[in-house]
Amino acid sequence: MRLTVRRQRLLVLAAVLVLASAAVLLPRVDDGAHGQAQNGAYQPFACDQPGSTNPQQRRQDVQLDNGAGDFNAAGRMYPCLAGVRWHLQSGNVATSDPGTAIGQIRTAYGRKFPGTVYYAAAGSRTDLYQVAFSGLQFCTGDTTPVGACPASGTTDIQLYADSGDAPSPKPAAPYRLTIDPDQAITIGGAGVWTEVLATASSSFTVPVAQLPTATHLACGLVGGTARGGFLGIGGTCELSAEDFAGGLAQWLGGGENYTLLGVNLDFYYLVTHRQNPSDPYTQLPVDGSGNPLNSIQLPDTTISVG
Amino acid sequence: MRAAVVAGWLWFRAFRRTRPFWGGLWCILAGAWIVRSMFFSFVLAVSGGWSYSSGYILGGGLVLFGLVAWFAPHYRGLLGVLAVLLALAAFVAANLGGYLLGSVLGILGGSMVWAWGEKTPRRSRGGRRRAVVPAS
Repeated sequence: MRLTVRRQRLLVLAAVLVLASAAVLLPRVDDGAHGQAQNGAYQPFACDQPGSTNPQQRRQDVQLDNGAGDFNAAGRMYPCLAGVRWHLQSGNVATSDPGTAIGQIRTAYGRKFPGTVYYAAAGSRTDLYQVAFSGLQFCTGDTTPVGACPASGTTDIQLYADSGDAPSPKPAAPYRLTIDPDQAITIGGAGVWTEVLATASSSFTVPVAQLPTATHLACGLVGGTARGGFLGIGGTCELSAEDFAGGLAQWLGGGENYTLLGVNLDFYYLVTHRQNPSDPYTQLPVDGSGNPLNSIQLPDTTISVG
Repeated sequence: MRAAVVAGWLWFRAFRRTRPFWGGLWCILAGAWIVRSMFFSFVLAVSGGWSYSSGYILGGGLVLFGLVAWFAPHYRGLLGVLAVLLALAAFVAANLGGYLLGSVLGILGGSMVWAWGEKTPRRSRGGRRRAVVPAS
């Protein structure tokens, strides 16, 4: 079987044309969502500064993780960030005892947030980290499926925001908004992905035994703090958001499940969304209903301002 | 049955000897591997701004050029160079070119396509090759 030279030439030209067309025409999967960034029809309220002609001028562009560590592949969210810092704390991040489990963090990935994070009223910062996970669960055991956390889990959970941490103008009298669950809480669930924009010093502590090589070497290699154990084996490893988002951290544990011994999280934004959404603004949850899948479960919770 | 197998083998041999078969095959395998590597749930994912599209475009391009090299051997020079360029681009843009393997295969295949030369048809069995007399 042999084509004439003329047909071969046409074949080669067609192949080059197909390749060039594919390179130009194939869209990134999040292009659909990108068009809604500045569209007031999709946003519940304006997010701009006085004098601006664009009502969504200060809306932040946050690219979401696709559920496999790719922060560039999935959809985007466009929050209007108040600049108020939330604080979530449970257990002891400085513990050296790997047996004091308070829960687990599942399939976690991290990265340094690219570019600048803008607050709605004023101010911005460039030092935040984006941590994504499929579940953050406060149970004493680490084998309970996400969403089935028993009430007997740890209740030592502090979740609050201080007005004093907000950008100026601050209120004359500082106050604290506290969310105080009486039972163990779960963030995440089947098919749900959770992401936070956290400070570099936010950290969580895991058993060294769950790291590659099960030694302090893996912890120290990425900048974590190892405690306890014997001759570099065993003990605990405290990983900050900065450690976890570093280049070596992908080798360390991107996508792994960890038993939580302590968590100390300062974050400015938390969002739950469907795993790998092409358009999180319009895409229905996995079950097709309007139910947000109980993606944040706070049983018997007291919310107070004081 | 035996005659059909022999005829098929002879057809394949003629097909193989009249075009850059092995170079094209390596290109096709390299492209398929680069596309396949986009689905791995490795903890390590390396990609540039193109993100997901790059693996499909570069891997698909290698498969395409491998196939075209089979059916348009007259343009093997151009196709070989393009295949090597795609394999190099895949290293930068698509998970290190399928974790290096795809890029290496693509460069090898593209080079083989570029350097290919048509062989003289083999004489029928029992025929004698012409003796090559060294110049004295």
